[in-house]
Amino acid sequence: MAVSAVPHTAISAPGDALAPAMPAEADLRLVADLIPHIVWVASAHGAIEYVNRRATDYNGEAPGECTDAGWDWQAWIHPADLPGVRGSWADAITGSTAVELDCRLRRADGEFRWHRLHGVPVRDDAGRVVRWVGTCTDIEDQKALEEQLWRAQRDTAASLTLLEALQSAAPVGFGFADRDLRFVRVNETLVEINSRSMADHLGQPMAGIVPAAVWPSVEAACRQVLDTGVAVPRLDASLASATGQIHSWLASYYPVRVAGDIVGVGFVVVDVTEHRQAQEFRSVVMDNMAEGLYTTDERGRVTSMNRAAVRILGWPEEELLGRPMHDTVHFRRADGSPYPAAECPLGRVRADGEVVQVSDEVYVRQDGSLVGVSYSAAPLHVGDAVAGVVVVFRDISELRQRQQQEIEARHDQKLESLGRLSAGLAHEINTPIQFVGDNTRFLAEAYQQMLELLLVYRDILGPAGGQLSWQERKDRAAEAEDKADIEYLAAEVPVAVEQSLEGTERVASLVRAMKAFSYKDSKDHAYADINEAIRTTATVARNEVKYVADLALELGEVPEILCHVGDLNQVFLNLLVNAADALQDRGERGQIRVTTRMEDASVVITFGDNGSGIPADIQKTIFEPFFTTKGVGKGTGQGLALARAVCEKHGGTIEVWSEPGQGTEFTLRLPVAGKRATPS
Amino acid sequence: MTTARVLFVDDEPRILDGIRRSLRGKRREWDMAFAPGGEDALELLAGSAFDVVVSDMRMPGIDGAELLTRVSERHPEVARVVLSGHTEPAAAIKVALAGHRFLTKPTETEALVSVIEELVVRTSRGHGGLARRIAGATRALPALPQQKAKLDALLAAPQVDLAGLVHAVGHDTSLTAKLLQLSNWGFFGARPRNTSVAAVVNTVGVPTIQALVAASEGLWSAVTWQPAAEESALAAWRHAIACAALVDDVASPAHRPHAHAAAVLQDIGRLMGVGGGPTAADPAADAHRAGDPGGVPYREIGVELLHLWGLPSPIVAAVAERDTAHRPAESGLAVTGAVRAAHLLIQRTESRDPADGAHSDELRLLLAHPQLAAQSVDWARAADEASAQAGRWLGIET
Repeated sequence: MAVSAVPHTAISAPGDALAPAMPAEADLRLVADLIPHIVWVASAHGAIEYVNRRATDYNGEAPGECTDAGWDWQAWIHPADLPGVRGSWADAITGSTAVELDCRLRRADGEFRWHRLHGVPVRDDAGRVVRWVGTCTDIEDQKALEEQLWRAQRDTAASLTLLEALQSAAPVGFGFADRDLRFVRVNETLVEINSRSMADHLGQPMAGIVPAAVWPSVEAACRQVLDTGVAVPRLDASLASATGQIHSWLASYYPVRVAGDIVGVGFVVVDVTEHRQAQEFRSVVMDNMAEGLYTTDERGRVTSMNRAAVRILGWPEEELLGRPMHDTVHFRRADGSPYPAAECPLGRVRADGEVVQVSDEVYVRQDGSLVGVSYSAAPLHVGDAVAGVVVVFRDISELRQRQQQEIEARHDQKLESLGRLSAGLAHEINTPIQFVGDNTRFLAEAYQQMLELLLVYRDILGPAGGQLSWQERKDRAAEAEDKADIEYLAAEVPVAVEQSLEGTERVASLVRAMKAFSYKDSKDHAYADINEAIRTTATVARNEVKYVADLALELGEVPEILCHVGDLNQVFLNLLVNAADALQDRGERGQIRVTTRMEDASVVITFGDNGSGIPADIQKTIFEPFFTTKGVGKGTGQGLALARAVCEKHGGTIEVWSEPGQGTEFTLRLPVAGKRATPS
Repeated sequence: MTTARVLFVDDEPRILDGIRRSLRGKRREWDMAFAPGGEDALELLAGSAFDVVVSDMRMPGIDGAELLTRVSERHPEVARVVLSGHTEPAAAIKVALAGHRFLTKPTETEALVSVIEELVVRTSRGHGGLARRIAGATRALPALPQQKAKLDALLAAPQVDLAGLVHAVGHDTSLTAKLLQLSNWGFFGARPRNTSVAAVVNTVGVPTIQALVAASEGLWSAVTWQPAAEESALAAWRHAIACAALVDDVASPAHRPHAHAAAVLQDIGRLMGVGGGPTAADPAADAHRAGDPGGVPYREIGVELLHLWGLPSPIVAAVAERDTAHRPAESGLAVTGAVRAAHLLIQRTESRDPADGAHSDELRLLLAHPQLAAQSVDWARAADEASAQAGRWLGIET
């Protein structure tokens, strides 16, 4: 350090001017060097002529060459501050006034530190400025402190603003109560939750504001927080509003400490009504859906299942939870063979996030029995990863059962119409049997009488009769003929024989028709003569029709069609019987007309009656299952539903035209090919 | 014997031809006519008197049920036979109210002949024609309000108490008669020879009984009971069911079902008399409603009815001879004797029939009969118990 370089002239001058009591210059230098501030002396023109040791220590370099203009102090000053310092210094010199300014001075290590510079002019007796003396005090630490303080204040203000904004804007109730459980601070949301005004809260006891139904639990929680200093999180509360709607809240209570003392309790109240309702909704839907539903985690272990799943699988939920689903219920194929987990479609769902739909597999119940299922499985995503799988499945054995029931209902209908028919058929058969029996009995008697007559003839014509006179023979023959009533027999016997044969034929043809009607030889479609089928049905249903109507068959030239003739017979029977029923309560005898004709590639069959007709408002519903206008026990309401089903199965249609009071006509169109023509 | 006149009705001419030929052997005994439908039959009936009409059920126009109903109103003296190929029980109700007898097609000529010959016979010696008219007009019998209430309660229950129903029918004169008539027809399986009401109820089934009760009520809904008539009918009914309860003990097991039925039916004629009939237009009906059925005793009307309806002959005989002094055969009391004995025992109780006396000597003789004497039963006490039981059933005593 070049302390010695300080020119002694720079200081000697003031020494000259001072009183003789002034210490020697050397002493002054010593003093100046001891001062922990930079001390400097400048000429009246501003050229630095002296700096103390502190300055050279601080700067760390020997002061540059001292020129006429003094020390090059400008190199010490931070370039950014330099213009200001120059200006102030120039002003001070010009005005001969004291100067005070802050600027950064370069330290030996290159760091600029803030200093406060003071400079005062030294005047001679005449008042002229002869030189300047001044100090530079390091104020860097002070400056930093100020800065820190200012920042802290600004941060606090920002935090407070944010907090206020949050409190008022957040959909969460905030509040703070003192140790006496009076509201000290609440936000708008809490005010709303409590349905009171802000003024009602502040300074008021919580007991008067919190609804009575939940107050005991709230008070207990607050007391616990105040006594133990431990937070009470997530306390549930549900309340019915004035409108009867149930609201649910979740409240947490926290201790508020100041300097280690608990000064009150803070609380956060969240309205979870919607969340609860959504949860409720989901669980109701899940538990009441007919399909089984379960979820698995990413490794295929069951995480939840609904009631239907419990029912269909026969596993209690608690036993199935956490088990690997595939190995527990899905390890067999429908044919009983093992079903390795590696082939399970659910693996694909987990691995690729695919949605899969599978029909016709089996699940194994807890008791080992199999249940046929179809299911669809979808991945449950969390972010981009598959976190699990949702599987919805259906017991298809129930479906099969329903199909079975439908078949049975159809069968019932068949039985019903056959049951009704059988009574009529019994009558149709019993009638000819009655008169065939009566005629046969008569023929037996007639034979007996003829035989007796014959014996008389043999008697009188034989050797034993040789002695009798001709007259006597004639008398005896006449008597025998009279007794036998030969005239009557001659007239009646041929008729009795003829009627008996006719009666036998009637029974035989009826039995043939019954056989043809219930044609069961083939379940497959075959070509059949529709006209013949209609004639057969008419024969079978004769007893149902003959008392109420005349049946006219106007059957045109139609080709055989590919059909299941047994089913069609059933349809024809239903339509005939319906027509007869429609004519039942009519005063006079009705007309039923059945026609067939060809139209395009279809056979058109009509069944018309001049009965009561079908009211327009029910014409649309007559083809619905279980629709019936007949009395209880008269019909199951399956007849027309069956007719439609059969027509559709044959690719055909059935339509109804009806005019109340005029009659009803059903029109069936059956494609010859047995199925709908494919549009080409 | 006068020539019986029989009318056959069927819409099938072959049937009529067959019947005419097969009954040719009867041509000297019967005067037979044939009608191809209900309208023709009514014309023939209006033109001349007939004893029996044999009709088909299902016919176009006026069908069998309607024809026979009209015959019951216009010509009650004509016995009505149904000859039908329809065998379904649903038809039974219609027929049960319209016809007296029922034959199914095909029927043997012998069966037809014997039914007609039975029906040509009239049971009342002194009042054959009038008794036939009164009985013939009766298609169903009225029920006393007390009976009706009991049956309605039983039949309206969602689950019919069959034992209770059997018991109630066994105490009901009208239903017992109707069900025995039906059971003889072969609608419900083979014709039983000796059947109890309980067995009939079981074979016929609850729905048919419900339908029957409803149909009978339809015929009688307009009847209002005169207080005196109702009291008299109630007394007769109490006597009948007391006898029925007692006769179960008196009769041998083989005769018990018929004896029970005969006891219940013993005063069926009185029920017809006091209840009046649905044939208010009929002068004969008017006459007997006044309490003096044209001089025909109630018993004769009742017996004629049971005969027309074809109830088993032991029952008909027992009812006919209830008031006749009985001389039991050594071999046993049979149905007639058992009913007579029960009747005389009940005559000494609260349930006595005021129209008849005590006949103490005859009773002593009957009780001395080995069949009764062999049993260590205090018959007087048994009779009192049966009487009290009947009173309870009617709600008279507790």
